[in-house]
Amino acid sequence: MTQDEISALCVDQVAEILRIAKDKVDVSTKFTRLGLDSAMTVYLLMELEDRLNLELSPETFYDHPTIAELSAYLAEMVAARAGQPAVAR
Amino acid sequence: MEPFSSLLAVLEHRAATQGDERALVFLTDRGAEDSSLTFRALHDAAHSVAQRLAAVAQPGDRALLVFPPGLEFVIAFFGCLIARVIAVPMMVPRRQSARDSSASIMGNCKPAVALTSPGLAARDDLVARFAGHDLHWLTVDLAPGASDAIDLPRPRHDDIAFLQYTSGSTSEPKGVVVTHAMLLANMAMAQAYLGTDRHSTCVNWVPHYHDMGLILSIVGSLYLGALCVLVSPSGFMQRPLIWLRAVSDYKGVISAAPNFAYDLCVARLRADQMEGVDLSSWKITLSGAEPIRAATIEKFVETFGAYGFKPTSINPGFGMAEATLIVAMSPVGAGHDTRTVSRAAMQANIIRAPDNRGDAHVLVGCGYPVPDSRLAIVDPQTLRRLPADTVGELWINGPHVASAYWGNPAASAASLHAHIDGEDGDWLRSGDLGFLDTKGQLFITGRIKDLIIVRGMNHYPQDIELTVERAHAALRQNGGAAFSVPDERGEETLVVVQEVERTARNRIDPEEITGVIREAVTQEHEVFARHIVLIRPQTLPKTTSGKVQRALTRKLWLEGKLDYLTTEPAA
Repeated sequence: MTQDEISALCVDQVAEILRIAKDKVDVSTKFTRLGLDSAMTVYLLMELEDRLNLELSPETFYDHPTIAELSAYLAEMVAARAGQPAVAR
Repeated sequence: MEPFSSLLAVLEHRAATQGDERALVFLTDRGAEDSSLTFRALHDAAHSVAQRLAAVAQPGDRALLVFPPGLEFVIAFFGCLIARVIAVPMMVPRRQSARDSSASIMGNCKPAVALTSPGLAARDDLVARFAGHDLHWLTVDLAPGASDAIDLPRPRHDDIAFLQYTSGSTSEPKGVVVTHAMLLANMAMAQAYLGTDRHSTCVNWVPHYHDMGLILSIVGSLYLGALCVLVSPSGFMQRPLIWLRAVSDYKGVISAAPNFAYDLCVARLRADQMEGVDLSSWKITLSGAEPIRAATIEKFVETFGAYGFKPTSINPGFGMAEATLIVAMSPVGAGHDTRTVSRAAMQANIIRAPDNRGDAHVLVGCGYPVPDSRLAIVDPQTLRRLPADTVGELWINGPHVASAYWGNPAASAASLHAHIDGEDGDWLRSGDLGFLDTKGQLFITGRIKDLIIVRGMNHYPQDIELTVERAHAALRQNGGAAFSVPDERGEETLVVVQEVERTARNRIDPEEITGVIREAVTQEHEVFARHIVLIRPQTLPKTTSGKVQRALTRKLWLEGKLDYLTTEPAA
């Protein structure tokens, strides 16, 4: 997944979690400012883990507090993994 | 079972008769076994803590218990009981929260000691937060205790066991004084009603500072001599299905949670994570601590039936800390009972059949009072007892009811020693509205207090209003109202209405201010303010004495009749 795709996924998920319109979800606004509490952050984390097949911790959201920053970081992680030998499933 | 003189007598009995059996297991956030204690190991470790406590505190002193999820808390709790030091379980203050109830709790109960885990004792922000208080700190770990601990005078039946701070606002927390006698009475009531025994393994993820986690699960299991499996609350929130897997792995018989937990399991269902899970051992599936929705129960039953879950195990109940915990439960094996009433009539406190489908509102019954207790529905104004099928305030009487809030005689007299007009006896006023049907089943319809309950946590509107007015200089003091409304899925959601200062109203950015308010409310209270509405100065409904009229504000908001500052309220 590219950063744009990850960003769009985050917007969809945040809109779904907060039950607000997607156009109200600004990618440069902090998650806390959008109103995500810690339980909601965990839901978002779980969705991203599922979709991207990554292991994330809640600290990821403190270190990358907006959708723009988070999606850039996650895109790097996804790319780094793609560069590694495929793991047998 | 022999009547026990105190909870310590229960612990001693279990250590003597079932010493090598496991009392408690704590699971990691991934659901693997982290640690466990036998009844004897718990007894011995608690005695070692009691010995250390006795060196620094007197019987009757208060001890804060500040613990992460895990078995250290349980050892510390029983250590306090043995030393006859009054335990005060407290939520671990969050790192980012500037204002929470910890300072007010300490101001109210004036603790001499604080017990914590080695990990938390090293957290800088906690050290700083408690620095101003003259507290003697003890750390409690899982090291085995000495079996030759000194013999301390034993607690008496009427001695205080602990203080449960669950009610009252952040600024004025109320600590329910819970005695050994109350705990033993409530446990005996639950056992008689549910028919539980030492094979009734309990699985719990509810925090240990919440009465449902501490009393129903931890104390309740010890009372029965049953295994209690603890899942950490954060582990549950991240992976709710580990709760269900724990029920399956340990053949859990009883487990309790607020309504939202059942919704969460359905929402987070992943078939691959449910492989091999068998829920057929789960006989008593308690739901309480927040309004119970029929739709939630039906979805849970439908979803997990495929994994052996029995619909008849659903057991809606009602509890509150002022009555130790358990007030009413449904008969075991009966499943949930519903009653469809007229929504319009219910708002006028009358219970009758709906006029049409649009007027229909489904209520879930909370069962019947536990043995040796009584419920009454009372008119909150006239204090007269009301007949069946009439909405009024729920009042409770029995040996499980507290007689005091710590250091608060006024609140104790008003809420714990109320009198029904023309009758004898002291009653607990619950502050909840409901009715008893002609068979005596309890139904809850709402609240007298303006309490906001989201995901099982109580929020006091005045606390949220204070956070809001302090969030930005353009916001008027004492000019806000916080309340909840059901959203399109029937879940409670928070609305904040706030006046803007006259001088600021033409030069503010409403989007910016609502963002600031939302962030402050999330950080201080862990709750999402879905609707934030800015209104013109001096338009918030207030009484002549200047008190905010939350119910009226709520009604005007629902009707779209507030004097909005912006044409479109920011959603």
